[in-house]
Amino acid sequence: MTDEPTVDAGAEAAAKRGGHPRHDLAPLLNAPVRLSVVAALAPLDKAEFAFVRDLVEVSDSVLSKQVAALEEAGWVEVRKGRVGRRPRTWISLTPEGRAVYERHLAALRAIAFGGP
Amino acid sequence: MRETTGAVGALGRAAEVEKAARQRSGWYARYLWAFAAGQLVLVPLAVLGRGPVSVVVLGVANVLLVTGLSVYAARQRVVRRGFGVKHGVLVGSWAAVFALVVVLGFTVFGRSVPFAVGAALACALPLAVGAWTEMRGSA
Repeated sequence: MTDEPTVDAGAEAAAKRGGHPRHDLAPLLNAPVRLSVVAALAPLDKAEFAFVRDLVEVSDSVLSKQVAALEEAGWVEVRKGRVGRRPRTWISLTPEGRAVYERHLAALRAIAFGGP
Repeated sequence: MRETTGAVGALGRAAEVEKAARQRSGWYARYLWAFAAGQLVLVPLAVLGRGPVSVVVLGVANVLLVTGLSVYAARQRVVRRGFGVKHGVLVGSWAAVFALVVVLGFTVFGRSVPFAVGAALACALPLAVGAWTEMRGSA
């Protein structure tokens, strides 16, 4: 996965604060579709709306709703453009979104594979 | 126990989606392979050719290659992370080698066929290396 931190990075971070790694989970990413959207964008600079829709296997309206929630959180950026006469909607992760995703994965690893 | 199972499942899903995104974004490797193959024709034309006909043929071949690759790139639905920097480095390396072999071809080696072959391979090399690393990134 993207720029993987060490397996127990989440556990270490939680241990430093004296808490359970679940506190590092981003509640917004607990929804499987939203986690998949962010995971799809993680190895990319940007992707067209339809590319993400096909990859995550959801309808336009479902993806639209999830992307709006992520955009509102400031984790995803949406840009509209054109190639010739074709309109295109590009989606990308913001630096904050990328950091939150990596922290979320680290916390999941700590929960899955053991912590302190 | 349920929390652990849920975390393992979420990690698995995220890994699968990331892998699929990488596999479906491999167009730049094809772009680079085509660019590299083009060098095997264009560079000998540039080094060996003389006179107005060879200039026209080189110009047309160049325009066709660049136009074709640009249209192909513009139609893609996805751009991999770090594409801008990688493309800049590869095109910059190619341009430096291309300029060097054209200057050497005109000033030192003349119409040497062995030099033209070596020059074509030298120009294709940075692009082929880039294509190979892109393909590895898709795995």
